[in-house]
Amino acid sequence: MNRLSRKWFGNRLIALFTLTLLLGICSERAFADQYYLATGSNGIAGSLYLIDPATGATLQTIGPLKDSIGNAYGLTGLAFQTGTNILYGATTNSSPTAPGHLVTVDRSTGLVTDIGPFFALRASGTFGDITFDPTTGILYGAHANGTRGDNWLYTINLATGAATKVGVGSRTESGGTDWHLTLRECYSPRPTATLR
Amino acid sequence: MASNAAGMLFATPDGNSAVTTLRSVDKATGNETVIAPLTGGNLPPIIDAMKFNSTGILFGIQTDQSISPTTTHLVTINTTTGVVTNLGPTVGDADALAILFSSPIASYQVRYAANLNIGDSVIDITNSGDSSTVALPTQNGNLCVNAYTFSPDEQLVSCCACLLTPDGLVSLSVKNDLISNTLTPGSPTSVVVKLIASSGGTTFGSCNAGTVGTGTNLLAPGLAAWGTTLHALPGAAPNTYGTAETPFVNATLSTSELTRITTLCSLIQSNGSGYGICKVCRLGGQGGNKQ
Repeated sequence: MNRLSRKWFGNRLIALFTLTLLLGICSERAFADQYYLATGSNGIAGSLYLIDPATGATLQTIGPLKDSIGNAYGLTGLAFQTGTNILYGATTNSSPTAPGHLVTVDRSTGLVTDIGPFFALRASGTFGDITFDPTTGILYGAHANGTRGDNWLYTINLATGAATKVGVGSRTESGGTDWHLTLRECYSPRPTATLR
Repeated sequence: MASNAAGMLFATPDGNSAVTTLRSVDKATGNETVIAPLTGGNLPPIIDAMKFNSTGILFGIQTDQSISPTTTHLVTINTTTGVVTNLGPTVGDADALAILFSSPIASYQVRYAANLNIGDSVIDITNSGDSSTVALPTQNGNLCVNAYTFSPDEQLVSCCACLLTPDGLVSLSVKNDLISNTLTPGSPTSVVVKLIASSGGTTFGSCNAGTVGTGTNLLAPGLAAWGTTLHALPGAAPNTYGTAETPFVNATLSTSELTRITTLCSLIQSNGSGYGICKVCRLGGQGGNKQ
């Protein structure tokens, strides 16, 4: 291969590499996941955010977590329903509105729609986090009362918000507290810095 | 708490402990099993929320549990070793995380078919096995292939669904299966075909294109589809057509689009007097042919 041919070949290799790189970047962007954050612990009125998964930085403050008449909410759990992409949330125990409720959240505006309480017979109680099992579509919540041996797993009714315990849970190590999220959010009437 | 694609639950339930651990949670009993202590990232390694992304990476919100606004960081968590990797500071007081899979991994695909007045177009579909979690003795991961056919003026002219087992191959004729029994009289000469893969089927006849996204009939990965269409050949004699075959295009399915097409399909099922229901898939693949 003479010098001119090598240069021609090299230029095309570079062009091909650049094109491949650009296509890869573009296709990754086209199909990238979207990462949503919500605030609301400590009794504050929460907001919904879109963040950059590479850095954690805020890409967009979507809006305050409010219902159609302007009531504010704070969230301690979020999960997208597999298949429908409906965003469900668990309100904190200190949420300004409907504490300890299952809600849906409009991911484009932050508009909250209340579904119902997790525990109808209690004044309080929520989940540190919620998650869908994509193989069954069941929504699970992690719950605890802060006492050793009392970690509980619940299923959550999507139509009513009602939670049903599926097991007694277990604890295998000493020290600390269980399900710290729910300790902070479920059983402190107004969580404060001293509780942290 | 987070569930991976196989439905395994993970949690970090140690709260104020000096050492926190990543655990799996038994969905039947609620019992936890320690996988590994959380190490790395920022101390203390307390995770306020976590979720898997579409590629199986576990993301979390790490908090210092300080006075509001708490300092938080976005992290990833190795589900085998418990190693926490700090990606950067994120929104103060962040307490909840959710990840939207923009592309539900080949569960929603779109393609057009044109020149149907000249000849047929065919669609070949397979199940790649992405939804399968049990290999032996009987593999699971059946898909319902839900087909929605639209005329160029955006009318849903037919819908139907068929069962597709892993690694199987089925096909649809656009003229003979999708537009041979349209809701309204007449057959369009070009259509848009939307395919949605869902998990609701166990037997033939159990799939329902009108209920996708509800109950257990949820979107599922593993759909791969190809389609043919006829194109006038440039430079050839008039009225000479050739067949082009390309893969369906992956698309993002919005909630409103899913609601609209399933609602319309359900209305066709209940009020169409049998019209608007396309035929079930044929076993085996087809090639394009001019009629």
